[in-house]
Amino acid sequence: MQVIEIQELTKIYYTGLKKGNIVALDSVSLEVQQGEILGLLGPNGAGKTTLFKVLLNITQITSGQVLILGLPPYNPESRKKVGYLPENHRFPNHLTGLGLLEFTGRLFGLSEKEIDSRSEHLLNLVGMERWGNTKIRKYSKGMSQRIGLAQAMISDPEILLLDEPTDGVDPIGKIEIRKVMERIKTEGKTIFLNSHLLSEVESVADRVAILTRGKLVRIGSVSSLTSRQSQFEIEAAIGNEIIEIPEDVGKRITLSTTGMIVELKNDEDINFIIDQMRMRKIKIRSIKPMKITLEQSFFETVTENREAVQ
Amino acid sequence: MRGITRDTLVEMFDRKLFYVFAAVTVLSLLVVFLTGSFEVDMSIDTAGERDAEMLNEMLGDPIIRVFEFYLSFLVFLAVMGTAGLIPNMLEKGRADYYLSKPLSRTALFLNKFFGILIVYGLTIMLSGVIIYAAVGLIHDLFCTRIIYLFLFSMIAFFIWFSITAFAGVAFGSNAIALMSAFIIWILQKILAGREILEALTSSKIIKYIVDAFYYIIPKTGEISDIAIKLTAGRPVNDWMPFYSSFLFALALLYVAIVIFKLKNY
Repeated sequence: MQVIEIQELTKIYYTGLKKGNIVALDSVSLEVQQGEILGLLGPNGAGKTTLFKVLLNITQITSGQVLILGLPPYNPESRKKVGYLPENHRFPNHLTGLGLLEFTGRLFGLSEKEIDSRSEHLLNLVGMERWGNTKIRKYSKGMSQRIGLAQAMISDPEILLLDEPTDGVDPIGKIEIRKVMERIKTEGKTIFLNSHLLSEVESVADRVAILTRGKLVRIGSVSSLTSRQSQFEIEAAIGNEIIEIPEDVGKRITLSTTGMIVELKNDEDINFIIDQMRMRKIKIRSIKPMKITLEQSFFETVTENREAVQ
Repeated sequence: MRGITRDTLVEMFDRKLFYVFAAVTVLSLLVVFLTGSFEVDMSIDTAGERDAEMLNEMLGDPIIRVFEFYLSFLVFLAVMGTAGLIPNMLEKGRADYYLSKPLSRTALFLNKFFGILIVYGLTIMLSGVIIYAAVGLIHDLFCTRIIYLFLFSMIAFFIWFSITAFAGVAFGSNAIALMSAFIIWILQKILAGREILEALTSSKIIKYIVDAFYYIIPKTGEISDIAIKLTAGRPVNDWMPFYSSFLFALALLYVAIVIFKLKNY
């Protein structure tokens, strides 16, 4: 089931004649499935935060269609089951951490009883139980992020939009927040995660979307984004055998006595290589699609698209 | 509504504004008790209705005027204290928090607007009631029509706050919100003496423009005069300053909501 549907979404900021208009989002289409963690990646100014703001009607759509739990963003009911942790947030700093949770709960129309029980639980969950009665203005960046995550969850939302949730958080805090996200996921909730930390996205996200200059340039599972297309690492006792690969099939990238890396024109041609090796009675230990890190994949995608634009 | 109103109250205490009102009230109480030691001849038999009217005429007007000035001063403090609250709510990073909640922008703005109006209005009332009770106790002078002064002070606060709220939404700046209230105040002072301005020119167009501005710009000074007349039990001949100012405030509120609904944050 899709909980977020975005079709041909365009957002243009009209900044006046001299500066020209800024196309923050350019015909973006994507869907977010219930219960998944979708990571959103992109360089600065790619439109990631704008996308979140559009989903919540903080910024209005220029064209296209957006549905959250079947409702358009201009309908306030669409935000009833959505929790949001904004980037560079400035929560009302006259409040304490607990006060923020209570106030947020009231804005969501929760009863005092619900607010009390959820506030206590959430303060514990984000490790802020000792700081609940301290004013937000006295919080460190990491503490602000934790309380921000708690306020995003006060209404027990179906969807969590997290914009840089671990920004400024220490390494232990990052791990804890990651665990919180994993726990939320096991409850069947959906997380739409915007983060600059590629390793973080790689470790928690089911799928990743890459935005560049307002365009959605890639979307897929983490494994599909990190596998090098049509490159395979074959571990085998090749010894001094020579395996010829016809040009129309592909080419050999590296070769050693214990294995080789091949690049094929079609993934199916791996069977041809296997047949060749079997004919020569070479013992095959493993065949793995070549993997790259998400960071490499992101870098290549962004660079390719930058060059394409230029 | 309850959430935002309660939050406004918390914010008021946090910004120490409540203590400012409390300090002004205490100082005024001291002034009332010190000046209360002056002898006032109260030996008029107030048994009859006519005698009560006489008492009003003799003692009422100066006290009403001083008390009206006191309430206006409280309104001034409230306008200064609240001018930044709406721009503050809409500043970068904080607007995202508020706007991501399941409230329409109209509801959010009106809740915040009336939350502030209620909290600061009640503070003005409380301070006013304390001072009036002290004045009443010392001079044995209570008049139910004093309620007009309270009512019209609230209306004046509503008008001034609609100006700063509008500027806050349109420009997102505390400074501009305050400046807009100051500019309107200057304009209404200038336009109050529009006969002098019109006498200086023979151009009909300029006279029309001055007149148009006079009718459009709120006239809180003249509203105060209406309140004083009503409290003193005198007839009000011209309600136009009240109606036009009130309409101006409503129109500004409407435009502020429209801008707020269209803005990107």
